[in-house]
Amino acid sequence: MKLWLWFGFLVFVWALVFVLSLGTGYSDLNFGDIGQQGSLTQTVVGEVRLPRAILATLLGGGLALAGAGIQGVFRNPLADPALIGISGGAALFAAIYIVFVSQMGFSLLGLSGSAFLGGLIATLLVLLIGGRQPDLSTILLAGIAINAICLAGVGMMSYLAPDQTLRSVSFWALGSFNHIGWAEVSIGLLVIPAMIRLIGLSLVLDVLILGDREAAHLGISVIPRRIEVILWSALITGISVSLVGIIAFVGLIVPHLVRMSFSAKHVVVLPFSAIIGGGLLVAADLLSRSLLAPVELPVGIITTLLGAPVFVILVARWSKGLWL
Amino acid sequence: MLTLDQVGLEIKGRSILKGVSLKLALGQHLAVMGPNGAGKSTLLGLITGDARVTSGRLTVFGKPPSAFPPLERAQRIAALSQASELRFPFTVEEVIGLGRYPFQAKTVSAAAIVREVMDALQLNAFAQRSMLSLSGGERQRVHLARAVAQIWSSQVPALLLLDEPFAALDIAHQVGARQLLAHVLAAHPVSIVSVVHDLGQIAQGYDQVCLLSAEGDQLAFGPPSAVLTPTHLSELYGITISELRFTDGTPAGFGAAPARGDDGP
Repeated sequence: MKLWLWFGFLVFVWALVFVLSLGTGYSDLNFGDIGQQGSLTQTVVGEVRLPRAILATLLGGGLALAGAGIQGVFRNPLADPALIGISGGAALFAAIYIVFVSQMGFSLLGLSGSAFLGGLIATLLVLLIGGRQPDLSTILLAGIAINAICLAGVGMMSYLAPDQTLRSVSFWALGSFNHIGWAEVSIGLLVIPAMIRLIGLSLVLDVLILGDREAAHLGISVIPRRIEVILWSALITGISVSLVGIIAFVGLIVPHLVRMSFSAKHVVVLPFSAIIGGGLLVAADLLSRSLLAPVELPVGIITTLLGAPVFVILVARWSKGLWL
Repeated sequence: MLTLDQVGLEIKGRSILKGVSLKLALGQHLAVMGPNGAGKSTLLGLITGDARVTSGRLTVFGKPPSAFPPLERAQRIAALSQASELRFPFTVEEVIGLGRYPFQAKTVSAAAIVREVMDALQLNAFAQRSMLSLSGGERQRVHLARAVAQIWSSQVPALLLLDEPFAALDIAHQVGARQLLAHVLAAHPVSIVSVVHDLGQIAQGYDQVCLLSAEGDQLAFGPPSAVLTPTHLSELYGITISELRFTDGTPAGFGAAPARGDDGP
């Protein structure tokens, strides 16, 4: 009962941030015109700010959920899609798609699909290299290696690319909502089924966290379920990276915050992460537009500034043998 | 309900277990003993279906373990492995509740079962504590409770497999855990297989004993009075082992005799 109240409160906070983000920005708008067809207010809000806020909600919620899913599958509370190379793999494949494939006809869906594939390959590589041991550090180290290779690859692509086909390296590495319109939102909607399916796997994730053998003894087909969680998480990450670049730390800090404040059970962690992640990314986008206005910061700078210190604290506690 | 007939396991040409034959009836408690590396945990793994036998025949409830669909198998065979580290702040109650996962669709109240099991293992005071704040022995009790919850009030015969269930427990909690297992055997249609090390406690509470040698051969199987002799145990561990008795003459298990070199004083 109490949890439902909290959830309602978080939805309210998200709605507040959402409305705030529609009303704030560089253009000085007269909101009396909002109902007027073709007015500046209607154009800016309807064509720029609204799709941005919707996409930030979808991707923030999706990334937080994907983070929680990846952490469950890796049995590692410090795993984050960006930290362990999934986002890097997605960015590399998105860049490859732009440079080599899009000459035959560019489609946003193809770009997202390619990024999904890259994220998936990166995840499997990290699992192969560092996943044999349940030990935490091997996975993080494997992720660092994969990330480094992928971002170097993205950098190389940016030199291979004819002018203007590939967005800047800093777009892929730090993320941006700068160019978002309704086309991107329609692709972004694809994260919803993945999120719903992940929430449906809550109980399975609880059991998987006990260990592979333990989960098998409790009647779970471990390998297919693990692969399924990885697929959905990589899909969310791939879509997100292809649309707005790598946005780090949302997937790390949000699930952690939920476990600390509410419960570690995934039936709580996943929906709460979704709503908090959605609100957080809308807020981060708002900050990225307002902090140095009229200059717009990459949104990943904001999430990293918020998330990296939390990560530092977690690692420090981990080295003391504490997991929370 | 559990039958092994000349069961053997070879991995990459190396023999891990050989010639293990035993029969366990409903309501019995079997102890598996042997030196480190004898293949005791591997034997449990064969019964749970983690691995398949490479020779001989192993049946649980009349079928090889691999013949059960996973969920149905989990409804009848519960196992406590030497637990892996949990890094998420689940509460004690939540972890024990996961033992009821195989029965999600059934109407039996999981919460009531979890409470009963927590009562029996004196875990009530810990119910809302995070697993991350517990000591090793406390965690082991929680995982034992989870395995017990899985077969608690089973309608059909069930099997509980325990890999060193008492290893991290102090003597008071060992007694409590033994009482719980005795109660489980008496009140539910269950048999138990435990891997045990403690020669001091072995005399108590087991109906059958299986001795495995360091090479994974079965040295003996039978009721404790026939199998647990100083001769067998000395052969098994390669040191001199004597039977201990309390001052009133009742058996008190076994202990290593003081080292006695032939060229000593």
